Amino acid sequence: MGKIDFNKLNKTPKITKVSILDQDGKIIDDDLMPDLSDEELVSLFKKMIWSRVLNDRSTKLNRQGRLGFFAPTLGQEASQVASEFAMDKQDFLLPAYRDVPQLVLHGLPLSKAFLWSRGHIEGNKYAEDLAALPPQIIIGAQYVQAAGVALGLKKKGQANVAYTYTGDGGTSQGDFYEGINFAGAFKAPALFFVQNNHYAISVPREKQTAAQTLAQKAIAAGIPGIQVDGMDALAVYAVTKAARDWVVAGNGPILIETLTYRLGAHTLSGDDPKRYRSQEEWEKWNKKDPLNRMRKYLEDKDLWNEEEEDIWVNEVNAQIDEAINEAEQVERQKVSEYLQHTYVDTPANIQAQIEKFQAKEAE
Amino acid sequence: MSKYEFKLPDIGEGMAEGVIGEWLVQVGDTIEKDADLVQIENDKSVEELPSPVAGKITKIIVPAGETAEVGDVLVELEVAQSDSNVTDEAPAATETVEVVAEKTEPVNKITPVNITRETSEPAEFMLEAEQKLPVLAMPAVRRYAREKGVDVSKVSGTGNHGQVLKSDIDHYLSQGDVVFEEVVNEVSRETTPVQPAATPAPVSLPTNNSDSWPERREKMSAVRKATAKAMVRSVSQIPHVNLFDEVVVDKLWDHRKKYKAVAQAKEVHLTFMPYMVKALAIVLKEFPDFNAQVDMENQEIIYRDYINVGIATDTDHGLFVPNVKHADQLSLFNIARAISENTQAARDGKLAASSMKHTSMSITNIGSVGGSYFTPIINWPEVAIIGMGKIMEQPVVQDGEIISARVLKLSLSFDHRIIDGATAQKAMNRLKELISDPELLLMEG
Repeated sequence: MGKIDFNKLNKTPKITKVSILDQDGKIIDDDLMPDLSDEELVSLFKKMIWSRVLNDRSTKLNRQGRLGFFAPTLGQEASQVASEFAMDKQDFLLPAYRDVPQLVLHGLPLSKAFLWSRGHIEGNKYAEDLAALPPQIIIGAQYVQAAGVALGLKKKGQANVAYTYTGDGGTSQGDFYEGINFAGAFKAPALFFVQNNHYAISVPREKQTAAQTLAQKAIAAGIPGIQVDGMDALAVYAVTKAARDWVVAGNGPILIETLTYRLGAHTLSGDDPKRYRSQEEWEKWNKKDPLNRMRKYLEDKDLWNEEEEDIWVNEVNAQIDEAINEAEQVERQKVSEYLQHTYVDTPANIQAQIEKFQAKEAE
Repeated sequence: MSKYEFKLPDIGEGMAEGVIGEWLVQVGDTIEKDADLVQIENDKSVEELPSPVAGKITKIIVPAGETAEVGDVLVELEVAQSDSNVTDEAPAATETVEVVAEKTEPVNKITPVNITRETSEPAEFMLEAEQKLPVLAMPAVRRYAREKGVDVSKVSGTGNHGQVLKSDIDHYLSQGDVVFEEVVNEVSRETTPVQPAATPAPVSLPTNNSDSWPERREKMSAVRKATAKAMVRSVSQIPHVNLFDEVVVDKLWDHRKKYKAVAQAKEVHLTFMPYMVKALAIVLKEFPDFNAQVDMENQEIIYRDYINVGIATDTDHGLFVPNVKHADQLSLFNIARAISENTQAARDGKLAASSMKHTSMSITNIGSVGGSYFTPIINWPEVAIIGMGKIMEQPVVQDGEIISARVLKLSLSFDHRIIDGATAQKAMNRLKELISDPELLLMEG
């Protein structure tokens, strides 16, 4: 009997990442360069800046007690914004809690996103024509729902995709496998993103799984898996655009792993990244900042300059001021109301709590 | 212009309180919107909180080092009318904070303090359940404890709601030094040991607030809590014996007077304390029983081969006992420098835990504010403490004549488990000898 080489088996399949724009803003793969007009390139970059300003302001608003939960997006702008940029408004978004930028770019008013952060039910009431669900808090659960939504789109004969995001940690969840497997089995038009930002809270990617890449997990489900430089907006856009076309054409789902990095904390609820990652590592990734390379690229093409950026940042800040003021105008939600929203038929012990809080609130 | 009150927001999920780390502004400063106001420390991290409004700082309500609860006003600003939040109609921002405060209220109350509430309330069940939790500690702390072979349930926590912190594990391991305060205890002046009592359970007191006898309740600060705990532990563990004596210190007085200016030229603040530290360091070398700890469980005595002299240091935010490391090897000037550094660090709230560790024995000085004899409580697990009163001119009989002399009164408390009365008096005699003649310090030190 011949020898079976498990070492060799363990090293296959080989997945290589797609890159277009290098750290210095130079095109390294002309062949894959997406077909975007100058206006579209500027528009994409402006959305990335918007996302960064939103990150900074959300952090401050949280520290002022004006926002509740916030998961920083710093460093993930290419992964989040450029993937959203390739989508159609009728494509259905199933975001996780870090995906507020895509959700707002997809059509959710920013004031609603702020209300969601503040734990207000108004933040979860979406307009009929907004093709999205509120952010999922349970890790990976949105993958199962995305498979279902995609199957619905297929049954309706709609030429759209359901797209969803999870992180590197999410790929260890059962829901992740169930979602990609079900969508694959039914050739449902789903686009699954894994934003590999290298940490599941404090657990490093290397400790998360023995798999060499997260994209290769697609192979078990019988669907294509692809890895892309998640700090490169052009590569993320190009891969997403091509993947969406393939999925809409009825070929079944695709898994896209974006290699990115969370430059900030996991959330603002007491996570201190200094406890689990080194300054050197952070600096290495900070050099890959997706905004820097895109800015250099556009400046070289004479499509962008500092002055324009200042004007745009001011405009974004004004938008954010307006949105938070709007959110603060909405009457605060009472504790009794949270309790009332929990059950259709309120049990006696919850009813007792409702009455207790109502009495307090009446004071 | 109108007023804006900045309240402590919940900056972590379910954060109930935070310690003011550092104020980044002062009264009178103007601040831009979103510029950092203050540093807050909680269980998990240190965060800078930015100002929601532009304005001028008019009042800092909670000073650095103190603990504030979520919803407490930290600072007041003078702001434009449109930014004010202190009107009848408070804007949503402040209200959000209040929602959070309300929500976290039950968590807040999980402290050893008894809570009087109607027992039929659902919240009460939660409280009872929470109180039954064996140990509160973060996973990282539990792992640290496992690595160090420490049973977390044996460690008393100093974190919020009695949570065990990493520093508590270190403290437990070193059986290290505790925050110390002079408290005149009930120990009599006789040299009979007091029976160690079992650590009493915390007792709650009813509030009897009325119009004729108004009372108010305030939360104990973190330092006050730690001090109270440490004192109870010391008194319950150690059979204290108190020994009082006095010594004529005319030579010391003159010596210090003579060299004060020399010291000043070297920017050294020369008080009587460095002499006392130096003298005590010599005594500790000659009487190793005073530089020891008693391990009752293993029935062993731990002798220290180093001499670090602790000094109880009074600050606005409580008493701390930093020590002068290797006091036996330092010159008087260098001891004085070390004392000044420790005192400044203690006052600024910047005392490192290491500067309070590995103390051989402590000195407590009430003399700077007056007083003569008192019964200091030993800074457990040390085994002795020496108290200094004020140096006073008084009549003294010398060679059959009454003369006027400067006299220092000394109060020694010692642990009778390890030190016997005669040993203590011999050590006291040696200390008196050294302190009465500073030139001896030069010969011996």
